[in-house]
Amino acid sequence: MLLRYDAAIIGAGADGLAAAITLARSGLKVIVLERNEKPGGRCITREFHPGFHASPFCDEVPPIPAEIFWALDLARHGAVFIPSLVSTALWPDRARSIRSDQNREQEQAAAVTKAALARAGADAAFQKRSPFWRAHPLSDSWPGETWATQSLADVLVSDAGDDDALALAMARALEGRLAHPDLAGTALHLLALACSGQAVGGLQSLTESLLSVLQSAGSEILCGLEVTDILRRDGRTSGLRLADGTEIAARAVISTLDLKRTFLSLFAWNDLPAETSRRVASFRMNGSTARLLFALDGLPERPAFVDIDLFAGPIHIAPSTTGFGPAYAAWRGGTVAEHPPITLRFTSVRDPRLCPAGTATLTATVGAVPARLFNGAWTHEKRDALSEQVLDAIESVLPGTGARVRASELIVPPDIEQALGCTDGDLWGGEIAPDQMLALRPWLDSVAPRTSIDGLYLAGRSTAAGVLGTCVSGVFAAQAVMADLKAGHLK
Amino acid sequence: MSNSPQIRATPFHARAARANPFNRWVAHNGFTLTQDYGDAQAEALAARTNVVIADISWRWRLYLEGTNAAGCLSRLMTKNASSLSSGQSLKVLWLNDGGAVRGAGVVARYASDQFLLVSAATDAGWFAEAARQFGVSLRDATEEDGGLALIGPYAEAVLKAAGLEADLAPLEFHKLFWRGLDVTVSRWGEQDGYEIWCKADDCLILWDRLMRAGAAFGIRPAGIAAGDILDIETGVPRPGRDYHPAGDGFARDPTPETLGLESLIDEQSVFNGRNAWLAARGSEKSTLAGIEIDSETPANFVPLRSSGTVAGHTLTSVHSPVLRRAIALAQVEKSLAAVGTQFELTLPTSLESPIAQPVAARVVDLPFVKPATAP
Amino acid sequence: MSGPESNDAIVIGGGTSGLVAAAYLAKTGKKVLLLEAKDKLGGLCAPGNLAEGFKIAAGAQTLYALDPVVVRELKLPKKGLRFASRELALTGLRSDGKHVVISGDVHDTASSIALHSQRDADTWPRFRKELFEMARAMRPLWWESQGAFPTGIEGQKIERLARMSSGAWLDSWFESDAIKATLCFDSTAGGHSVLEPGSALSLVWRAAQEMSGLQGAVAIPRGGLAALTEALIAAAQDAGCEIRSGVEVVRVILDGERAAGVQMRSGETCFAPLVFSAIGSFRLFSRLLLPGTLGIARTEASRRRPSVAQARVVMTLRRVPQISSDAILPASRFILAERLETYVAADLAARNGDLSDELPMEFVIPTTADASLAPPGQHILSARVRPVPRYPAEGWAALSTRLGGQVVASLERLVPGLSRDIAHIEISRPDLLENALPLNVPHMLTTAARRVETPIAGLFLCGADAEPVPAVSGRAARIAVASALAVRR
Repeated sequence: MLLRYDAAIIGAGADGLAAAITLARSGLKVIVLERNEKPGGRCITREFHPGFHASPFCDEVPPIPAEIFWALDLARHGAVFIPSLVSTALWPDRARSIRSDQNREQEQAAAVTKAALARAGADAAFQKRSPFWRAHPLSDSWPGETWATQSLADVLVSDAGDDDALALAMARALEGRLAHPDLAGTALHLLALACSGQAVGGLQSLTESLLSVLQSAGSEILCGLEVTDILRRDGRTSGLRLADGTEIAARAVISTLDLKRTFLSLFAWNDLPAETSRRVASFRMNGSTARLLFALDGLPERPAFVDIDLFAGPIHIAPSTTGFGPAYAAWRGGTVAEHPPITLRFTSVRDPRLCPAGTATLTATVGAVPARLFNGAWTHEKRDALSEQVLDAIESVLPGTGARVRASELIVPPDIEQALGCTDGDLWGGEIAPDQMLALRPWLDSVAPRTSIDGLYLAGRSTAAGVLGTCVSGVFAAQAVMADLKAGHLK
Repeated sequence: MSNSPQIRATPFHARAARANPFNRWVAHNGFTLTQDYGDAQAEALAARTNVVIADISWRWRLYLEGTNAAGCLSRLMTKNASSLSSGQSLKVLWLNDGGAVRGAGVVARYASDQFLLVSAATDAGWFAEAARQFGVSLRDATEEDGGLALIGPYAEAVLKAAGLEADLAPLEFHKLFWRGLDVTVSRWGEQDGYEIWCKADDCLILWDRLMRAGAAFGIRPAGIAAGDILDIETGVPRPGRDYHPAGDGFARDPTPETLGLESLIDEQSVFNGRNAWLAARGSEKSTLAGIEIDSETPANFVPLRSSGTVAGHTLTSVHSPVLRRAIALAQVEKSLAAVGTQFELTLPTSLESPIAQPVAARVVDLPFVKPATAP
Repeated sequence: MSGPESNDAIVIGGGTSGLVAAAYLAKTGKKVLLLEAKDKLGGLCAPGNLAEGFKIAAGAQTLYALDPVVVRELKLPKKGLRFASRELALTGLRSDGKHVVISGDVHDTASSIALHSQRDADTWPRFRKELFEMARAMRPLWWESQGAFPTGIEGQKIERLARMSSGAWLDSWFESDAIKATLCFDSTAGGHSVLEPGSALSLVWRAAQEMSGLQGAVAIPRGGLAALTEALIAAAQDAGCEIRSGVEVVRVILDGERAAGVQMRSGETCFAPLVFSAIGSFRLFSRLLLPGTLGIARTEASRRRPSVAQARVVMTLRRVPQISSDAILPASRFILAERLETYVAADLAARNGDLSDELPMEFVIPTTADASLAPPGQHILSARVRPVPRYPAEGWAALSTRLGGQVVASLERLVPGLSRDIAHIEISRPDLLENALPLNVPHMLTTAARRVETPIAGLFLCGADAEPVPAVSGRAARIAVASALAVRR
């Protein structure tokens, strides 16, 4: 059986669904293919303990730019985000908070991100064979380039009055991440902040609303079948093959998988141009995020010295300006640091729907957790040790939390890789580094979302736009497909 | 970045709360302050005809101390602070390395190695960096004491009636012992008034003494809104309200020239950002102007059109109770900044006038209103 | 302010750069005064006092960036500059004995790399071609005062490379750690981590240099590096420059925002409309000028000093070290670093104030090229170790002992019996040696004219840190003099 489509989209995450909506609305015949039984990718929410719900992989995502949020009509279909108003660094003896409306750093980062997204959108709108994009010099084309040579510490220190404030600012930028804030180029992490706010009902509601829009736009979605190959004819993309052998013909394919998975799992290695395979191989992906979900009998006591609404926003446990370096060094050595960066969210405080009345949900996001340990796999013992380590850290700043834990679940990078397919469990589609960001993401002379293979488009976090915002890389890939169809580049 | 997201009360809060009939409060510089005590127009008018007191404890006050304090300030400030003798002060700007305005305020010399900076907006990070480089110690006195401004033609009379010897020229200040209180009386404000500063614990006594002494002159408290009206009438742009001061060390905007603040620069003095300022000087396209609007409705931040094209925009606009019309500070193209130049603008719509109306406006001399003196 | 006895120009610091600047100024007929704080001239290339009969420069161990224009225009060969070795090979010493020898000969190099990886051996000629092409494209920017950034495809390659780390770049070319770790040492010269952007560009900068007519070569002068100092002193004095050593400058005198002269420790003052600083710019701005002269924000940025540094360990040996392999050239520089991760670990430890277990180092045995540097039969081994912490947790006094022990131990593993032959060992502490500002990519890509200027009219930087990457070069001095004279004209 041969099915024919204008475009096939691999992956039904937010980016894939946004791409499908954009294409289907313009009258194209589109199919979305999802390996898992349910669509959503990382934007899912599940019951991890009877009555307790959490989004397992992240609580917040990079914000959806306003124009795209309006264009996709998401609010009307139920996507509502609750912003965090305050972030707190909590030490055993003191606390430091910053309100989001006082945060000049975040405002500046948001403005740069917005400008960088506009640049990515302009790239997507180019027709592939336009000579223009080869001519424009790299240096003045992308906002945020100056951060490519600065360290996170350099950029943040000018605004932070003291070490505690600096440590809080670093913790905010590096939540669940991996970076040595003294190394040049780490300032780029400011462009990739997951600060959308919590979606009401968990991130699943974003998926639901995208699916609802998709349904009205009229696109097909096929879940539970993995794409195994991208088919090519005469050097250009002609369709896909699924795990059950079904072949689907498509004039354009958009992959929302990460760069490595796209090229290494959907093509035979020797089938790729040598330069492409060399670059894909040298693209760095660093899984570093672990998550712990807790079902609590109730909120812990608020420490006496805290006079703010502590539980309404993220809480960074005892960050220190000199702590991120050793955490990074430990990650490189394949171990978990003694004090990895940990961020807590009492998600049910902002969104009581997540658990039964009187109880609470807590998520902990741990950074600098290696995907591969130097001493072998993530065994039960090692998982238990990490859970215990995190709980001890929580207990050190919020005593009594441990006694309230009814159930918990740990997710380490290999679990993320297995569930979402991201290489090494890297939730960010590749290391945030100067040679892998902005115009250089995934690499210089592929003007994202186009790739070196005709008819294959890349969306998702491995693209320039993918780390800057949610849904946006899918929309840009769809716009590139439409521009190329219109110009007659796709047969 | 502030230590706590909590709103702070000033030491006069108890009296202000009693005088604030409609419970109208506003957050300003991290303090909770009275928006108006019932009628901002009447309060502003009283500052022109009688006398008002205004809580100015929200102003950022920073002591710089050490043998190198004079050197540090003369490097930072656009006028040579080291030439000041004790008891004198200067109105100054401070610029970043790119020649952009980071802040504006008054520098007062208390002693050979002690200075006070008073400003409408905080810039703690910048001064901390500079102080470290010069080995100067800093002390933020904003919460240590409180201050009241006494504005109006009868300000001096009220001080006399209260028993405060106040023989001060503008920009001078004295430390005095006044019936059991240690106070500093200064003339740093833009309104030709007086400021009286004392320890936070003594503030309520200060308020009561001045109100009692001023009763005969029709004294009343004035809120933040009235202060804005007086500022605009005087033609003073304020950071945070009319412009964003340069956030980082190398930004090029806003320049002193665009803000019409070049009079606060002593070109002969060697100060931070001087080279960049000189290099950029004259290349600015727009400048600050005062415009009067043929309407009673103020028009904040609206485009100004000249023969059909947009040639600038208003900044803060207020209704002036003295002039009985709307006035505004504006940023206009230099060629159109001459007094008398006509513009057209569209008034903001409201429930009362839902249809957009174009009205005429023209450039006038600054200040709009000169402070009145007592007969 | 100028009196009859005033000078046309004053040069602060009598290192290589200061001497070059003074010689150039004097050549144009200017009345020049050069002031050096120490008794000996030469800075890093001043004769060191290791032990009786041994000649070794105080800081530098090889020459790789000396400006060929300076050599030609100051006629240094006529003043006695000769090379004992014109092109040192780069040898990566491996614990498995399969040493990697990288020399100007592409085929020899490839066959040495093939011991580790045939693929890398095949890649080597392409990599070298690309590196040298990019390097040549960058020469105008790096060599001339108003040189432009390359345009077209070369420019794009450089822009991309400027955002890359040397680790990532070499990873994208080679699979074997042997070749990557050997090449990487040069990329850390500016204090960069091999994970940071700028480190890949440092490799291009190295390849853009030319020694004795050979691109990217590393040389040792006959008579050691102090011979360069002697040639430069001769050039400066022959041109009529006045040189005073043992005179420390404590302040640059300003007339408004113009340089007007200098004040010395003795209180004596000297006036000149042009002042050239060949000392570290951090020292210049923080000590010799009033605080804030550089601008509050710029000073604040420069206050954040690099937390990594390099140390130098010099030892005298009673006999020539025997490295057991035939492929090793006698005159080579040797790299001791097993993997890229060795650099990463050392860098992360250094940033944390500690030494890692394995320290990357480069060493030379200059006496194998020039036997006159040591008493007959004896040798010198000079090693450069980096990255090491600039601010060790335990303090440098304690750390330098540990450092010396580690260096000797790692050398002993490759050169068995070496420790028995050591007669004398000296460790230079980096906190006393250097005073560099943090290096960043914008600094490396700005025009030379911008690198030498300061916010003060008439005051120019001409020392090593006005180079794209700090090095013994003289190029910044040549350009600073040209810029200063162009401004005055």
